[in-house]
Amino acid sequence: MVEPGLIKAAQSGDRDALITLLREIETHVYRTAYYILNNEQDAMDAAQEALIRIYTKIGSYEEKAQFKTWIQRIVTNICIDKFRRSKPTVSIDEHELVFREKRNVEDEVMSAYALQDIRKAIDQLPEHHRTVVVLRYLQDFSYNEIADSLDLPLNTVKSYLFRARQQLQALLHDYQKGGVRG
Amino acid sequence: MKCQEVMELMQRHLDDDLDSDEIEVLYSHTRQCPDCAAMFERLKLLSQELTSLPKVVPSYSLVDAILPELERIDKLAGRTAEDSDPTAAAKAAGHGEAVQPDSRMSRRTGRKRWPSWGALGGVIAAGIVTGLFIATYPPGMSKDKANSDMYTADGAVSMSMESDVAQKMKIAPGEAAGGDAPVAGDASVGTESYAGGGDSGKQAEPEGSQSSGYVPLSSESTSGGGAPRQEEAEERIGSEAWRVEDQFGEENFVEPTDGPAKAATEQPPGFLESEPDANGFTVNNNALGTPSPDGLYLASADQYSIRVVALDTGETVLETSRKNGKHTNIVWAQDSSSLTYEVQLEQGAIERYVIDAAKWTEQKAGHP
Repeated sequence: MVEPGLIKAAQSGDRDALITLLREIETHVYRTAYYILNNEQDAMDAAQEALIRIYTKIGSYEEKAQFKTWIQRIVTNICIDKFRRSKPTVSIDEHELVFREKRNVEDEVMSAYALQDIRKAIDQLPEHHRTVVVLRYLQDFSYNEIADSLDLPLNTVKSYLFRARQQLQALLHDYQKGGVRG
Repeated sequence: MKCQEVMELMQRHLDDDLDSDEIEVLYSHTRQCPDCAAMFERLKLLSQELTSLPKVVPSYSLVDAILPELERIDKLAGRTAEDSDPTAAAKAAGHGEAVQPDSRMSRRTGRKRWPSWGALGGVIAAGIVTGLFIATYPPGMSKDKANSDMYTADGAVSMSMESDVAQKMKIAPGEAAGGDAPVAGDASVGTESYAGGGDSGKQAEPEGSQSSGYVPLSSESTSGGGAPRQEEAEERIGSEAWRVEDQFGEENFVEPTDGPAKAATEQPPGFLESEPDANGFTVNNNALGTPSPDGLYLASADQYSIRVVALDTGETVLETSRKNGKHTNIVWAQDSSSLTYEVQLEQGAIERYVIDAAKWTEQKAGHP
């Protein structure tokens, strides 16, 4: 998404190139922050913080990593820091996720989930699960790119993503039925 | 194939991670297992919804918003990176992964969008200081008050300890043993609260500065921070007193003013083993009484009279006649031959009496 030449120019001290580069990535940075923090103002703050950090640390980027995973690592770290400061961690209970309410599955009406329900459900996820979902769906990252961004093992990424989707569908299923969980 | 294993295939299929054989396995299972088929549908629906989440964009240009900050960083970097070390610029501008960029960020947003943040940060800092002050000072103040109300009692505590403390401390003996009782009492209380306040301040400082780094970024942390920090400070003061006691020797050499505080906590053994101090003079009106310098007798004041007990037999050798006032300032002569005490009458008048320890008789004395 960002031209390698632009990155090189920015790294070599071309300030205009660096500013151009920041303009190219700001939306991607913001979008990740927006869906992790689920709040526009927090997302603006986190994204600006991430851009400043990218500006000051562009020299430390090494080509062996993808640039897009490098910037997503920066923004997700900032978001997770913010997230931890503002919210207590919710732990995911595995037993809740495994094929809950099987008998009701057949009655499911396959209508579209309301957007706000999805946002609400994402907000219920623990920070790493949520981050994996955001990188997968908002940045269209592969397992490996997510693993690089979050510095997590591939299997952990898969496990987080699968559990997150299971929990999301369970939550949305509950919202749709208007019922209380359990 | 178990449904749980199929679940993983479904999940991976959503990410286009299956080869054609695996896809065949998945579909052959879902054709036979309605539960898995329904679950698969739900997951596919979820995945579609997630894919079509709104591609939000910032409501204004974030880069434009941070340009002034970037210029500031450049200036800073220009000053410190004159040796053309490219990493120095980055270090100067954004050294430290977590904390410094945060605080820098908060200053920036403070200027750009919330002009009051800077002032608020100051107010918060002042609040923390005030909180510490409130948390640390009242014990000292209330003790001062208590001390002036019954200064002789506090004086007695420290005075009866003073020879002991002075010997142990081997430091500033003039301060420890010298002066009159009320002054010594004051000093002990004053230094005690100072020691507590100083230490708690030192301990709280890193925490305070850390949180002030975070503070402007999130209002939750500012509003939530104050009260617990005060409580912590108070707890710390409490534990501080014990720490002083535990590390008596060291603490006193480092901070000799802790001595009297220690003296207060060690009062009972101190008063029993108390030796005549430089002034030959001990003051007390507390329940435990004032021992004679030769260690044979203990003089104590109850509400309206003085009682002298022989320490070896426990016998009461003298109980003075009732006098209508508070009995204070029991002082033994250096050779234990007599003791004096004062009776505080109404309107501040004081009567002074001398007891002859040879005959156990008392007579009214003139004021010195």
